[in-house]
Amino acid sequence: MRTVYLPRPLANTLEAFVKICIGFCVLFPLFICLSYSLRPDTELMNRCKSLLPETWTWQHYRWVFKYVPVLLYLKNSLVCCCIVICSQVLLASFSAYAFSFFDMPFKKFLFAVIITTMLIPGDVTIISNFLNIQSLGLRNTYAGMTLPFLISGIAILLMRQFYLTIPRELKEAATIDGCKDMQFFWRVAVPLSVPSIISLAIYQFIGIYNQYFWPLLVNTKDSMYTIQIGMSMLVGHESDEVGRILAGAIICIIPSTLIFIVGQRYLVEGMTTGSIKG
Amino acid sequence: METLNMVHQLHATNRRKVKALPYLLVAPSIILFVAFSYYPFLKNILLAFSLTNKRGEFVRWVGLMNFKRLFAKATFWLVVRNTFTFAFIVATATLLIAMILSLFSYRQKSGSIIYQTMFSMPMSIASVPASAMFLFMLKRDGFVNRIFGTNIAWLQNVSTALPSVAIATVWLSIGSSFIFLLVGFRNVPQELLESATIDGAGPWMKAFKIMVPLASPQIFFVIFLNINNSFKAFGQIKLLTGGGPAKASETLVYSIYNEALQNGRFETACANALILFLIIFIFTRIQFAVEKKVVFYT
Repeated sequence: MRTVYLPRPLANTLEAFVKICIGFCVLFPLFICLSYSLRPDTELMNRCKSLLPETWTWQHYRWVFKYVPVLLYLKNSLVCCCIVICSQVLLASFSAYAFSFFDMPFKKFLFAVIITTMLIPGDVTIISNFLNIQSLGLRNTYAGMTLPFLISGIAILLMRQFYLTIPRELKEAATIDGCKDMQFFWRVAVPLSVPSIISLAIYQFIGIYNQYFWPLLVNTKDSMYTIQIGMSMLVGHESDEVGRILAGAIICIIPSTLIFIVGQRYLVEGMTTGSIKG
Repeated sequence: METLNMVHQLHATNRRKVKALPYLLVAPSIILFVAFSYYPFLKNILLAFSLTNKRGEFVRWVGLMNFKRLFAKATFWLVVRNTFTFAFIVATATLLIAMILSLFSYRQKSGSIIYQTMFSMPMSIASVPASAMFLFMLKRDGFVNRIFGTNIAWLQNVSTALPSVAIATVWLSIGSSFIFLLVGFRNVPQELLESATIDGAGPWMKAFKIMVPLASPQIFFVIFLNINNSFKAFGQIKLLTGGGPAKASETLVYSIYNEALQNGRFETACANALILFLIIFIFTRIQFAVEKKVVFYT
């Protein structure tokens, strides 16, 4: 087989071009969705096959914003995300700090209690969690929507993984210099762990924002719907609403995808330190 | 040396006096875990062996009755089979696609962040918008039928409903699998690949004789990750097919939802959940065993 050598820069550009084309293939459903959401109904009905709209229109987006309280749903989603992120960052940092800088009796046992929860999938306990939330009268409240997610084993593992890289001698030296335990936590450990905190926050944001099963169970009131529930109401089987459904899907995707693109680096780091030690 | 002694002394004094602080730091997490993980789990087990009312409250013990009734139903076994078929399709297809994508892009170059972002983007997309997209593509007058001139109701056909939902799930899982595999392939020592090139190994040879074996921890991890995620897939099933037609695309998670919220049979839902837990648990044990034995560490 004869190999044809291309000049370096040309080969690199070509390679990048091919890869970006593959990227478009991977994201093909997304592009089709975007392209069809920007077409007028006549074009959607005509079963046209062109990849790009012949006439561009925002009409479906306008319809969604007019008849669906998108901003309210978005607010509900964001409030849930904020509660979960704040709580997880704080509680996971607390626990991780205790596990990596203190030797206390029952440390192994307490750690096992936390790790074992990772063997109990949320979807298994979802019905009994729902029954508990219901009997507490917390349906249709932010508390009900977030309570089961205020802490997670993976968050504690992630923060602990980072705290273990801070040398214990540093804390001992600080103690000799008269630094209290909590002072060390707020002044040294937390500032150093900011990248891990960002990883955790982005991971949880995407997870909670994209949640569907739990809010579907807990929410019955329209005013408490998260954006996912609100948009899922649009998804019916009627063909004349295609444009609206797709516009709704795109609106729903934008926030999580933006956060993903901005925080990708942190997310990847968090995902790979938290789960694989290979 | 003196400081070291001091440090040791400090250690000793710390050991003798048990501090309350670490317990206080761990307490909120433990309380939340007990309230929203352990307690519901135990409650789930108890409810699976009892009769409940329409509000999901305990009425009386019935022993194994719920399970006997479940096992006697043919639809239950169909659902279990669906769950495994679904897991199989999702795990193999995702691994294949993610592997190709990550072998394509393991070399870090100046523009690599662009296509890396593109390959992993489905990770940030929720099941609801993804269902909207795949619904538009797969329905009778949808995009796929338009392009290929076919007239198949992919989502309403007994033989195509489950694979269709699986395709949507594969698309959603590509992103995270790609990232894990990419990390695995990037960890392969560069010198090893260079010396292989000098010895005359082609790209295929390098990929399958060096990269794949060395990245086997990540590959196994991705396989089990996708199996686990497929057991938990819910949104796409609910929105694309609703478990139908005739339960052809219903998996265990969907049964849990269906029994509890549609039929008001909370005890059956809990029995289903317990079976799902056992299946996931067994797979986790297998994962641990495989990770210990088969994986090649360098």
